[in-house]
Amino acid sequence: MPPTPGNLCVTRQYVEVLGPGDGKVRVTRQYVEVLGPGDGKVRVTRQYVEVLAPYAAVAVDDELTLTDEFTFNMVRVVNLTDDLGLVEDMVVCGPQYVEMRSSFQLEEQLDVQLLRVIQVDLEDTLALTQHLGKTWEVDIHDTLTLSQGVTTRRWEDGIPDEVLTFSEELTVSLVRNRAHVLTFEETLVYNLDAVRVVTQDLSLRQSLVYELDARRSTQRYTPFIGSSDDPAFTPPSATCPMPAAGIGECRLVYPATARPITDSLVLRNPEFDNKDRLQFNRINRETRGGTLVVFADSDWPKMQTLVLTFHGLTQTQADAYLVFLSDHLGQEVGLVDWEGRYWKGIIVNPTDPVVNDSREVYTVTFEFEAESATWEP
Amino acid sequence: MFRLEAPYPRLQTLTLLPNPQFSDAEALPDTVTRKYAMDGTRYTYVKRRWGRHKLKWTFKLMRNKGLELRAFFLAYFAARIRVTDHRGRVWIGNFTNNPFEFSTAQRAAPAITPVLRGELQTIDIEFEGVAQ
Repeated sequence: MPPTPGNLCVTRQYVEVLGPGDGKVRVTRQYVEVLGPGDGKVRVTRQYVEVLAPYAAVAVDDELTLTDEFTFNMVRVVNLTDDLGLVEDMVVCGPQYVEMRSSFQLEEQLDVQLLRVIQVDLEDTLALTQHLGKTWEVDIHDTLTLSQGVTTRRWEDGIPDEVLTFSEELTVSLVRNRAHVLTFEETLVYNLDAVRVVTQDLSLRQSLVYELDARRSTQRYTPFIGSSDDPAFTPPSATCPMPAAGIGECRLVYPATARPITDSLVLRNPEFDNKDRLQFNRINRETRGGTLVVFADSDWPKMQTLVLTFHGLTQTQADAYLVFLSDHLGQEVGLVDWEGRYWKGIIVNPTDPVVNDSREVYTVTFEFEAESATWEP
Repeated sequence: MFRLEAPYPRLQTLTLLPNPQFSDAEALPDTVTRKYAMDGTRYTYVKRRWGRHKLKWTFKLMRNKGLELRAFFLAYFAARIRVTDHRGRVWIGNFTNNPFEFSTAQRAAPAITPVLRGELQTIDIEFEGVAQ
């Protein structure tokens, strides 16, 4: 029945020959069955040869060659399966034979060429089972060779999954020379030729700083504040802090912010060498290359401390200072300084003594951890 | 003239200071560790800071300028600073003082408005930076 395109072609052939071979009677049967469509793409072939021969040394060959080719050209393929199943079985029933060879070679290849970059899953499974059974005491050679390779061109999400599993078993009951060698060799070669896209934003910012060639600019409060789009730093005030009007003489007051003032201690102006300390929480680190990196969070505390020494206080003032210090120890008090500025804070060194330098002359020193505040009468 | 500019590199504020007092100092922060082998051979291990210098200046400022420098410290104590020193050299680095301590040493008339009294303040600035 000749193949017709588009139709299912079924071919069966049954040949049976009864005739003389080498002068003796030989019975040969051959059965061939071909099932496949008429376009020649997919073909299933079964061949069964059975030879019935008399007691004679003859050579019998049984060669089966199959080719399964599946070519699919399409824009998009959802599921593509190409299975090739082969079973080769050689059974010889005879009183005597010299040599038996059963060679089973299988080569399977799955090659996918994508026109577009589409993520697909490729699965290529090659399963081989080989078994050689013999009851007589002869040499047995059972060799199973597997070779598996994976080649890919795109490699983005992890490495390709390549699994090569070996299972070899030799079971003998009576043998003279026993040898069982299981050799593994697996080689994974990465040939990566990938193009990585690297992006880097180019940020352009601007800033402006200027300087006025003004007379006595190194004496006055004259910061030249330009402009910058750096949000990390707030520029200093452009104007000098003004003393509060009508704030009065230097004194300690309590409470610092609430009114009315319930306790007050009038002092003289402090002596020279008073200190104004600015202490910051700041992290200084040095890199391996020797670069100094300094960091400070804007929320971290900034401590300002005034160290003041008052000399020439009377005994009454000195005693009043100790009473004031005792009554408001650890509480926030206010300080009107000698420049007419107002501070609120705490006195942090109550242990410093009040010293009686001479008759009716006392000296008081305290550290005032303070922050600038607004005076409210 | 002594110039402090900050924050580097996007400079925003410039403060002019008078030249510092004598006894200004400049040093290397590099370190040398010396080891001796059992046979007397001397080995030295050097840790360099690759061009970074430690500098210290002392300034005497009018009270007004002291207030300006105080505000500058409050704003840029952790920022990178560009310093143009009294020799015209330009340095990029950071203040390393902690604390910054202004000491009012003496009178210095006249008072400049709005400060009520003319006073002179002394401040030490410690700085580590790289010359440009």
